[in-house]
Amino acid sequence: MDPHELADVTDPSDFPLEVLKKLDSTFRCTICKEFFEAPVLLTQCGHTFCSLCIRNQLPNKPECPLCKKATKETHLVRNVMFGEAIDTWCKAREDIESIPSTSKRKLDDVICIYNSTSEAEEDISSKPKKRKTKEEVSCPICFRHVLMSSINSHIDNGCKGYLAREDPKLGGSDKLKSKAAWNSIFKQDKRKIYNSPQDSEIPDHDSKLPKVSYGTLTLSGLKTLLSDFGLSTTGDKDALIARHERWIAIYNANLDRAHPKSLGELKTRLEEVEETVNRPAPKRISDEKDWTKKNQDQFKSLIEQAGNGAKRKRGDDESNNQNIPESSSERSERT
Amino acid sequence: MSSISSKRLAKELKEFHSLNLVGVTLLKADDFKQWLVGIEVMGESLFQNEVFALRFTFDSQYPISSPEVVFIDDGVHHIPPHPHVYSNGHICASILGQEWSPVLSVASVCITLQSMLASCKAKERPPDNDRYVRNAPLSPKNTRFHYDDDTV
Ligand SMILES: [Zn+2]
Ligand SMILES: [Zn+2]
Ligand SMILES: [Zn+2]
Repeated sequence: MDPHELADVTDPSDFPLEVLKKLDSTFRCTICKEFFEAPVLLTQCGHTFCSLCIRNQLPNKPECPLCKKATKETHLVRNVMFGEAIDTWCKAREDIESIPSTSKRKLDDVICIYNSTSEAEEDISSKPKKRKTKEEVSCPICFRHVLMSSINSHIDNGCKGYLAREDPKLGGSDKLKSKAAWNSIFKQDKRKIYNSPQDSEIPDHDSKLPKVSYGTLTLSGLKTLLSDFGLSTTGDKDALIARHERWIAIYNANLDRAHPKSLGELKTRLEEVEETVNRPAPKRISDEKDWTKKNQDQFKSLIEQAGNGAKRKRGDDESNNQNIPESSSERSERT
Repeated sequence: MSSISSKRLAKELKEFHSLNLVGVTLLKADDFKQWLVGIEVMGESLFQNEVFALRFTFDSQYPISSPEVVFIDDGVHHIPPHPHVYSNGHICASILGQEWSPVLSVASVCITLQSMLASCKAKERPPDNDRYVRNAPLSPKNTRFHYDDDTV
């Protein structure tokens, strides 16, 4: 479990403010729409994707999925600072989300109050009064209740201090409880994963695996490649090649993380990927069913809302349309 | 673990609502395998006041692998007569084939196909329609279309 997985049903539209929506979407990969995981920079064009997302895509097409500039895996570079910014945003987001929805809705109003009272502020701060609700505002950054008179200093101090009162929703005990719960999950995971000493090994940042030309490789050669990492060698040659290609992508993408995961965790990931890929198409997996069930209400309302919508003008959509090439054909051919 | 495609489609579903596209309506999205989307050309065009239905089929590799997208004829909706749409519903559009990019989405495909319909100059089938339909594979993803650069 990492923060990226915890945040996986979130979406930029969680925020009422346009600027926060924008900010949230800049931290998301345009391929998977999740927060970037091990972000890498395409040095030929400057665009960034999750390491694994772009490593899965480049074998299909050696170009940037956004701007179509030619690129290859050797042009990928870890985007270290951006990765840190994303981690910070993910943490900040948890605080933002833990506030009651009513104060979220009020946020726009609060900002207005905040802007219009800046002149009167000095006056208020010079003579401290009793804390009254009307003198409190929700901080536009951390959403905590802050004395209106101290909001500027609060923000300048990186949202530390000047709290009007502890929001029960942000209260210590709940947070501690959930932290303990997460810790126990982590421990269980580790016990499961670290049962073999070799699996606990954390690969070195500079140990990228080279591509293999499978055409010249014998079946037993392939099996050796896989068993060197303790990977399964069941299946025909095509299955082994697919497994090894996936392994290289997962392994190399892992090296682009700030803190690479252990070989054991990577193996678990490979098994999960194989499980979803090899599943026969029409059959639905059980947890997906659960997901659908759990989210059925939301699903329905989303569909209804999407169905109702025909309010926007065409012009608004043009930004979505810009990069989409159009084409036509006169002939076609079977393959 | 749910597949990457399910996670991504869950987000697209949410996004679909916030985008609020004119003339694009989600008709059916009960799971992350197949969606039906209604599209209508807004403004003046040969297809005024006609609603068509697109069927999107996703595999577990979506969005790395492109969705299968076809027009369907379900009695209510019919297949638009268009020089890039075969009578079996298969569509010849490069973004569904070699120009597919994983940064595209259901919404962006719908917008492109909407504008493909909007710019239609004659309600007619592709010149090779009969030959193509006779031999067409079940999925248009198994067809290698040839695209020319004639502006649609
Ligand atoms: Zn990604
Ligand atoms: Zn680019
Ligand atoms: Zn704050």
